[in-house]
Amino acid sequence: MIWFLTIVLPLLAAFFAVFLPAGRRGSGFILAGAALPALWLGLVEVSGVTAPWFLMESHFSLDTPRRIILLLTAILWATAGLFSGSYLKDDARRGEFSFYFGLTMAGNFGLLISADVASFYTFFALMTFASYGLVIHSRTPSARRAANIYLVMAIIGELFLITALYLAVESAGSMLLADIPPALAESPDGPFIFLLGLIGFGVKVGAIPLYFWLPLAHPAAPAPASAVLSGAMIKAGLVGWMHLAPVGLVEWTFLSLLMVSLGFTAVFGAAIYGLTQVDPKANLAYSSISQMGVMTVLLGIGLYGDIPPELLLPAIALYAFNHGTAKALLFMGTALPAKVGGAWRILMWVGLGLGVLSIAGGPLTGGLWTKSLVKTFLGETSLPGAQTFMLLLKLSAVTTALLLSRFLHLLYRIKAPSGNVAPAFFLPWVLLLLAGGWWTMSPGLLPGELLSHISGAKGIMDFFMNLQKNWTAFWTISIGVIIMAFTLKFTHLNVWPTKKPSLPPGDFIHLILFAGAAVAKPLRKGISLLESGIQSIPGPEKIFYIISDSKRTSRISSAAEALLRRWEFVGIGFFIFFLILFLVLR
Amino acid sequence: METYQIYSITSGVLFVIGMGGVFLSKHFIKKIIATIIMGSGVFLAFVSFAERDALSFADPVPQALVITGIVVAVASAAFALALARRIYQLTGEESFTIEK
Amino acid sequence: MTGLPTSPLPALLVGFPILLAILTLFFRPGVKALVGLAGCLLTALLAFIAFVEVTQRGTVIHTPGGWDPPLGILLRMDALAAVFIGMTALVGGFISLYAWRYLRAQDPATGGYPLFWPLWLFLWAGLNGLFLSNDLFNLFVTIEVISICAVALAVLSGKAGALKAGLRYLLAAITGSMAYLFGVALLYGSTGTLDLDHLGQVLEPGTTTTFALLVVTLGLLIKMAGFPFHFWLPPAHSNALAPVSALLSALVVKGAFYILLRLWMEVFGVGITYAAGQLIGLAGAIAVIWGSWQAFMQTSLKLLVAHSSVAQLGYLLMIFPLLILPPGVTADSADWLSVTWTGGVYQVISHAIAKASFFLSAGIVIMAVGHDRIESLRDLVGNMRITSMAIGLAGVSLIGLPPSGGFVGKWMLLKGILLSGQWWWAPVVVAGSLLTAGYVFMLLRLAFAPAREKEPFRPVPKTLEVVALLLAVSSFLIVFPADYLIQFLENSEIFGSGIEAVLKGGFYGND
Repeated sequence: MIWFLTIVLPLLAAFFAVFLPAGRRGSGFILAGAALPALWLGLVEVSGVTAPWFLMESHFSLDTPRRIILLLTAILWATAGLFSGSYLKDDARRGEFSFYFGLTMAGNFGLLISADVASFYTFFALMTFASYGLVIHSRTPSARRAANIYLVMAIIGELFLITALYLAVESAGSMLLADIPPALAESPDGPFIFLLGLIGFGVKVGAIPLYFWLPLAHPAAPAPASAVLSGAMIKAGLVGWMHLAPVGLVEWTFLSLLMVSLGFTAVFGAAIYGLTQVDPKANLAYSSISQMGVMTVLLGIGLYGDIPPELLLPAIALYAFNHGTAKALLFMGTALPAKVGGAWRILMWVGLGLGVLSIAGGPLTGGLWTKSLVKTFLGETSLPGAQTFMLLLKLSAVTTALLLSRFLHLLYRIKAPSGNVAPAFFLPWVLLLLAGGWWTMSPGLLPGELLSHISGAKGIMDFFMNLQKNWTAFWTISIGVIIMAFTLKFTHLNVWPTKKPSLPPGDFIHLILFAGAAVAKPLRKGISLLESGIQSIPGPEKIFYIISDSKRTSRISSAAEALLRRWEFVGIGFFIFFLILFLVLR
Repeated sequence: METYQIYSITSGVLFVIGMGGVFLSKHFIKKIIATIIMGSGVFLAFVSFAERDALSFADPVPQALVITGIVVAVASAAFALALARRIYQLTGEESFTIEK
Repeated sequence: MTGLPTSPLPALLVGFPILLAILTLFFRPGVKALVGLAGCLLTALLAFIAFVEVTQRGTVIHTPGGWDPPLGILLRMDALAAVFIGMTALVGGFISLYAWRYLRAQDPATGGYPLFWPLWLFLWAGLNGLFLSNDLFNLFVTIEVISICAVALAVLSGKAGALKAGLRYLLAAITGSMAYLFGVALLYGSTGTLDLDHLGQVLEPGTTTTFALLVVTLGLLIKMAGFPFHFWLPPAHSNALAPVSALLSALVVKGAFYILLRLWMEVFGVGITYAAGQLIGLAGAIAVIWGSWQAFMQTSLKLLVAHSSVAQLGYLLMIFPLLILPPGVTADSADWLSVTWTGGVYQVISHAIAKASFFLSAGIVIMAVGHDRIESLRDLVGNMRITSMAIGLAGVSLIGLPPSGGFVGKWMLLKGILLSGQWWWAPVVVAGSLLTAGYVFMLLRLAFAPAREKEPFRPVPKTLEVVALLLAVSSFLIVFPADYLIQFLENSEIFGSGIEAVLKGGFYGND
């Protein structure tokens, strides 16, 4: 029952919330309430069910990694729903927003609890296409552009992944998702099928080089929608990867190295490019790409050697959990600085600071904990170049800190309202802050083996008491913050781009940048060229439209159809058909 | 050549003539007449099959079928004629032009 | 005669609508519509009762007047017929509701095209009769009733465009049925029987059988607008009134398909070859690509939907090559037969529902804006939420995205294609879906775009919008009983002799 409620309640909420007139607050509670069954499933272990009457016999059940991600997803949707209730209270299209919000929520929950391919794909597609309505919500030209690019990328992604899923089902001979990884490990086509899935789900994950819709679409949506897009739905692609990856069963050197190198490219490339952004939400979107890079790396090393999947997958899920809550916190936080004033601002800054620290892996945060999970597995892999990866990972803490302190600076520039005010949507934000901070560190989420695998017999508290670890975390982040502070303090404040991205003159970071300017400038140019180039190079869809829009094509095809409409030609067609059919019947 | 063979071959020829007329002639009325010729061919075929080896008398079933068939064919032809007439009244057209 | 349970329901399914059709003729125009609507709803109810009867008792038969074949007429309602009759009742019921409101709004002066009701009830009786018939000549009579009623409905508006399209439709239909009847004559001449079951047993391969197969197939292809004989469909369907377009596209063309399927599977087992199946499949494949492409290129809404019908009918033809076994394969080892078969039936149902909803929605849009250029869809989402939702849902079902009925149909078709090893059909299915996605998303993009003029939409009755949406939602709801329906089709005890043979192993193959 609870399994069906998880999907049906959001759908019902979608339909009921439409009828709430703008200006009333109820929709927030309706949407938040719809996420409660999912929250329950995330917290309490419930045995799976089978629904033979739905699609091709649907199975619903959860395993540890998906339970962790479901919990994350449920928390995010519930708080984002509450948030949207008052944030969009007076929006003229509020009903429409709630409708798509509910549908997307149903899709997101559904795909997490499905254990068979048909329902998984169904809900995945529902989520993908319903979220188009969230992206296009504001109807501004930039939102339209973002939504169009999103739709094209989504369709391309869907095509790849339905092919991958289809082939996977064929080779596994079973519709159950759990049967797929072993089948792929044995099938000779396994790497190819996985590569197709890598591309198909990669669109959702925002993996290099399929990410470019993401920094456009995530900022275009209203704040609560960006929060779930970047916090929860991006993880749906990750779950898709986890369903396909035969972790610990294969030695696919090429795919493994490919994922690791693409992951690290994302980690650094996106972080550096994000620095040049002036819209705080775009900055965050790049940070999301960068963080998903870490998870890509982590899954990548699972494809080589005997890394135990029952340890690796929960670790990835935990990393996703930490990133998801913190990132949603920051995304919703972008709506706060202009509305929160007086003493409340202290709480706001503490929350935002914690969110940033948590993503960067600051001392005593969930981020440090999950980052050490990554390190543990990186230390165990037998993949060539593991030492370099370790170094790169440490370095990434600096770039992340740099990127996110830039984010805080961008928010800092927003003018505060006078007086001691806090908008109604401040409360769900604080709730999310509490939920995220506590749950990531809670040992209750972890399988016992994983816990002892990482922290030894001494337990998790020992990990956080470890002074050396915290110290290391502290100084790596400090480097990032100090660099940012330096560049802000000791140069003119306008060195950082305010209107459009440009490189700052002056100072310490400038020295580094100056040294690398010869490389950096063309590089930056290259990246932006690539950015605009990818959008201007006609994709398959564009080429199709070019062909179909040309006068010549339409003339030819309508002339051909007119010809087929003429009785003489139908007669000739009849005669030819008659002859051929006669011949083949002999 | 037996009688029923002549009938059968004639029916085939009539059918083909009718079909050619439907596709190749332009005028509405010619097309409608062509369908009637097609129908005649088919009915002739039915009637010709009434004489069968196993039976010492003419098989009554084809006769019954032909009567029903003629009723249907007449109804359709009448309907088509009414349509053609109405089209002529409204537009003055007497044959199909390329239309949307 | 065959020991099957008898039931009066099959006779009622044909007789009741005819009676009502005649009854409606005696009323004033305004009352006519009410009586007609009530009659339609009663007929739909009757069909549902019959459907339930078949699910519980299996195949039921009725011999009017107690005369057994070959003297009498046997009406047989098996699982396939029950599914088709149920589909007609579902779609027809909704369309009747829509028509009642729509026709009144279109033409209040004369009480809203009063002749619609008797014609539609006659058409319904014809459809039911067709699905229940078990002999060749009965099939001819019913399909003629259907054709004449369908043409009469198509020209109901009396406009010159509709009349010309109607005449074209009628001439094509007469040509098709004459070709079919010629085949019937040949078959009767060589076997002396018209009963489908009996014919399937006694038919022997030979020149006569081949010619009969040829003319019957071609005649039915003309009637179901298979490529390259789709020349009459787009004008006829796009010029008719909205509820009539929905009827024609959703139900009428399925009649000819039903006969073709029955004859190929049950009667012509001895005559057909693997290559012939491939040829029919090829015609279907071209129809899918060509129809979708033409739909994509249209600038008027109803023509777009009509061309999309051509494409969707192509999918139905594509099941033929799969149902015919290649030489050297026995039916026992051919595990794709039942998948393909049920997939095809599913495609029929989901297309009927989705296309009816699509045409009804198009009618609403045209009513609201006064013309049918697809530009008129601009800002539909802002002004007519319910209709835009209906178009979106129906479109998704046509594309075949999950979780729609179209998805189940196409997925099973694809599964059948891959299982049978005839992989060359798979790209066609995918390309057809892509092109369909192209035109559906083109419409949806317009629906989201800002309007060019102020207040372009006139208000329309809410009932219309709700009916169209309900149909669109039904195209998704039919996913739920999918498993049950598939089992019903696969496991029903007597399944039409040929299909049973196909499924259980007999007939085809190298024996």
